[in-house]
Amino acid sequence: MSENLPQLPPGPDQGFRPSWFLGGVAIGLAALAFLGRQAGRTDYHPDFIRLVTAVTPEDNYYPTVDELCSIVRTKCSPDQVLVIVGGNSILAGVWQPAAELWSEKLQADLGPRYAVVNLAFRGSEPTDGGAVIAEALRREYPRQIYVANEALVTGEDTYGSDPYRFLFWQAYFSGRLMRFPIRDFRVREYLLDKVRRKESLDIVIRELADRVLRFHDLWNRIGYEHFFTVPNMYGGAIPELLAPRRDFPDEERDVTDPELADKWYPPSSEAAELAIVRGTCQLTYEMTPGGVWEMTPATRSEMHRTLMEAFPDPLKGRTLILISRSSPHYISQLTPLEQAHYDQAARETVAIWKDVGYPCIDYGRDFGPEDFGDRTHLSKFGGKKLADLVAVEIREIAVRRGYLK
Amino acid sequence: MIFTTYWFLAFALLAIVVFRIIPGKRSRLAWLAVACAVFHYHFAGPAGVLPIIVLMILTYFAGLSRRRGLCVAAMLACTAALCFYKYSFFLIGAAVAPVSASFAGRVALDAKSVMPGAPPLGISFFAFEFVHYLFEVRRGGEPIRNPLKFLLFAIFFPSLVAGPIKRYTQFIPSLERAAGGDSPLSDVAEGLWRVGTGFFKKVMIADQLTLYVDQAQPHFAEKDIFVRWFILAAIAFRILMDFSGYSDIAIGCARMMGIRLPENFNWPYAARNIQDFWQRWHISLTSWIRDYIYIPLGGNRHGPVRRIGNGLIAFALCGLWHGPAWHFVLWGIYHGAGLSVCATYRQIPGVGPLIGRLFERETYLAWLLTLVFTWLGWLLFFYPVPQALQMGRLAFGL
Repeated sequence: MSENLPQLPPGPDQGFRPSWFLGGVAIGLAALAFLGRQAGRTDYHPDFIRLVTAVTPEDNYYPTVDELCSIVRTKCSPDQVLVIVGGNSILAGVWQPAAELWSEKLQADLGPRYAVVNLAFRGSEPTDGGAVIAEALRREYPRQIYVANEALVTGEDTYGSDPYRFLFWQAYFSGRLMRFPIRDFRVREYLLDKVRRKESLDIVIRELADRVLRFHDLWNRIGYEHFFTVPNMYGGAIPELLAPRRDFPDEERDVTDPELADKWYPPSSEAAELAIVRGTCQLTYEMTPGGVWEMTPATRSEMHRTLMEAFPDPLKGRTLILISRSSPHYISQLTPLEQAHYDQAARETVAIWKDVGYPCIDYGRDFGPEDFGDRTHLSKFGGKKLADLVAVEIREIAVRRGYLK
Repeated sequence: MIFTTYWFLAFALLAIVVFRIIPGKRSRLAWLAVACAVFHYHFAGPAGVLPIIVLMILTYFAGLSRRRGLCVAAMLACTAALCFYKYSFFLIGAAVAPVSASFAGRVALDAKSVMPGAPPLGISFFAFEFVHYLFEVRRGGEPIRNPLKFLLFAIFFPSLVAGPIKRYTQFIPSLERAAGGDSPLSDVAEGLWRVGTGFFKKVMIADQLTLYVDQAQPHFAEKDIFVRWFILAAIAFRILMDFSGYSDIAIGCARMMGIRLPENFNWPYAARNIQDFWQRWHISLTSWIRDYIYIPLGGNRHGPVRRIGNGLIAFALCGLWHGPAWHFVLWGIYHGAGLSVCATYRQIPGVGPLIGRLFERETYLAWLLTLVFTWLGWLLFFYPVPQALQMGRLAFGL
């Protein structure tokens, strides 16, 4: 059985010393880990305004906790009140060009005693992205307010939503989040679920390895400044394959631009959008025998539970939740009864959030169709109105919590 | 994707380090067996482990008996298991549906109720390895008597998922030497380099090309001819880098323990004819097909017609091995036909020798023709036949 062994590729050179090679690998890994640590400590997003698609998971770029914390440190000095904007594409300012982004208007409204940093991701929940960064920075910036938006009658995942959960895992496994027993319990429950046994093990190993080796930070910095090895999904031409992510500017268009007239409430999607608005409360509300339109007890208790578990108690009071109403363009097409139900659902959603301990307002009721770009996203006009509303709330929270005299 | 999980990295690090530092041959073999079992259970789950255990026991005892009949029966069992788990629905669709669609639907439903969600992990590889083992033992080869060594031959973790397809006559001596501590530090260094190369190919090149191809391919018709060929190149390099990257990781992991696995790729796109290509592409599969299908069918011993027929059958099966779909079969036949032409064109009176001499003199022309042939072949491999034909036409601006 000792017949010919398989042919191997040419052996190493005469001068090859395995111990030197292995030592070099070890030193190289240590050096890369050091560089990764340094990469995350400095802000490499000059003139940051918001997270453009090229630096989000939508485009295979996964910003790290350190990377986002560094952005915050550049934007906010220790003597300012930190305002971190999370939430979804509405607060990220889809349909608003960077120069007229609502959070820039908010910054102008609030003045230099506040620093507004917009870390909203498209499609994310209030417990995603910005929430994680705010919590990770709670000791460094104790005077902080976190702003996020949510739809009507919607509960939360305590560990964020799937596409953005990577930030939660990073912060959680590097010990940067508060002790919050119910969240710890839910995390254990999630990770130990038999269905995702393999995925969970991978998450834990990845995060523990990254804590030591810092490969995410190093790779992001190289990808942002020098070359990115993952193709840009929004590019198409061959030369864009390896382009660094800093080369992709903020190209958000202004929905009020006459050139985009066909995008503004497109007739082709009118019926579908209206069905969504109509369906908002259909599954979560019911008509009682007495003819009263009521949120189902199961919905109410589930919302209550998830909101209780969404943020640690000390952070609830500094978390401003904005309940996003749909555009009056669609609301006005509902019957008066449907409009009343929609309005009731919005008010009750706000009441539940407040009941649990969060400052909460809804917006959009007195907005006009021109304040929206579509069913949910705001135009620059709506953005300005939102900024004015939010500025008032933020000032109140800041005073209430003793951030400012 | 198993090799690119963090779990695998942590597991491989632990398995290899302990294998190298633990004293004693038996304890090394025992540790490796435990590691392989953990690996297999982690990725295959209990349902996926059962078929390999059953086939392993059957193959081990059939081999040990050295009885030709038992070996043949065990080979049939391995082949039947492969067909059942991997090709049931394909065979129902191909053989039953043309006769009665409703009956085929009922049979498919029945089959679905008894089958796991996915074929058992690595069944295409271990079934072929078991057949090789039984074939060689039946032919008079020495069986593996030590059950631990047989277990390691069956579920050796680096090669379990995507090969290379091992030969026991090479693997067992190499395993014995490594377990005996006869593995210098240079094995670790060279294995690590190989693993690094594999990850670079897989993660940095293949996965990114996949993203690019998935994005660009739907717009193939809208692109100009230069970009179309760029997409074809991306498809060709994607599969090469993906598969050879996986093989590099497997070979490198084994090498770090001092165990040598057969090579699987040798610059296939540098081939100057189709025969040459198949001596460089997925070498362990090609040699298996040659030894256990082509030669038993008669090989090239019964004249050119039988030779061509045997080649086409062998390559159709080679194509089918890659997946239960007709386009894989066609891809195999396409290459079988290419090989037949390659082996016989010089016999065409007059023009044959002339072409032969031209390719000998202008080697770049032979290389280019081979490259175009293999790259166009990948269209059949990856896409449904009508789409592949359309893309092939568009590649030439037609």
